[in-house]
Amino acid sequence: MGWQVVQWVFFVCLLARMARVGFFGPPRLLAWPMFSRVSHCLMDLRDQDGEPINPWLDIVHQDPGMNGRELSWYLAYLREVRGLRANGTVTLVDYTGRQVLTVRDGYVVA
Amino acid sequence: MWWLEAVADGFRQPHASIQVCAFRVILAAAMLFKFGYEHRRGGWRYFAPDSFIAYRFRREHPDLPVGQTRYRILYLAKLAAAIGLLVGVLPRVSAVVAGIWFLFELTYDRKYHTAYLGLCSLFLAFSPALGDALTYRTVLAALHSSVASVLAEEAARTQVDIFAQVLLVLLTAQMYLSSAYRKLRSEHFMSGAALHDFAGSLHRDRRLQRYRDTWYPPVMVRYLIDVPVAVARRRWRGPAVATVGAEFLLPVALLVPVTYPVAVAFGALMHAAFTALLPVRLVPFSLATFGSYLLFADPARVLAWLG
Repeated sequence: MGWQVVQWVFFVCLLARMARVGFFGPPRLLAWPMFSRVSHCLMDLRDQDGEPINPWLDIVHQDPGMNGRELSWYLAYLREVRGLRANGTVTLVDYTGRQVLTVRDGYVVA
Repeated sequence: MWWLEAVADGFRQPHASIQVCAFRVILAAAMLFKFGYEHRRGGWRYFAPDSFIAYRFRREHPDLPVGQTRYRILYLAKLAAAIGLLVGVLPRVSAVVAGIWFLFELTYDRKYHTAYLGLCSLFLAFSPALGDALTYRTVLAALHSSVASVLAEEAARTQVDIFAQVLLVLLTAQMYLSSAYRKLRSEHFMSGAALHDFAGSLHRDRRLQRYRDTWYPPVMVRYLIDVPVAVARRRWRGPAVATVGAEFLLPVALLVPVTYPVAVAFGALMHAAFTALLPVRLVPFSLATFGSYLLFADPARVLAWLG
């Protein structure tokens, strides 16, 4: 009987969370907005020696998704961990459209 | 409908153990496929000191003390859990450990298929039937008698607590409905732009990828990717609308016994299309989701069918 009560409480709480998180508010566990807000960074970057930087060697396998905040982390990673100061352009593609960003000396400047 | 009766009866309904055990095996196979390709693609080194993944994790979760050593302990635990789940050794413990791994994985690689596999694993742990069929004992027993008789004997085993099966059915149905609703409200998706951006980005960077997991047929590239943006989006709009419609209808059709067989065939086609867009990475998700359709089958009919 006690176990059944636990099951009922869990079931009702789960149902309530599924209804709330699944359909309203920002995406969290039990929300499934797959492909609804895709964001990518298409990078054309070179380091201070002119060597091309390939982000695919650093990101999680087959994970092209990267937003503006993660791009700034990636540039910081290149500077702080790899000692690379990136130059070039990054095309940020997301639900707001396409935005071409200029990167100079490891920072987004425009 | 059986799931309504099961809820009304306080999650007590006779069901064949083999139904949930078959899903256990499929889920474990999906996990092992995922872990296998991630290992091949550097998963063991994700938390190396000079890795971007570890760097991003530290920036995002400064309070979580997971370095390379702890990551690798968890990494080995997840492999043991997936194997345990596959062969039925401590299956409930294995399901919990795998579920915890997936929750951790979400902290450094937020992917919806990871969340789905993790929740399936955690919900599966509620089932008392997990070790009843299709385990290493099945293989050992088959060495001494015929496979058919061993499977027949396992198929006759039943349990009454159907809570886990109800949770898993609920999870898959809610996943489809939530996905359809959020896509419907997303102008980015409904305009066709999200699918075009996604496929276009992968196609553009195809030669930069260390492992070529994405390949689109030339006709698809000519018609849907290498065309002016406005044209491409217009052409992707049809598949986008069809996806939303399918995701709204599919769970309903799976839950109604009369439409169940058609829904299974339809779901297989839909997941094949999803997987074509992102091969390799979506295989485990498609495998687990399609495997969960087994759990939508009316337990009474399954029992009658098994004799």
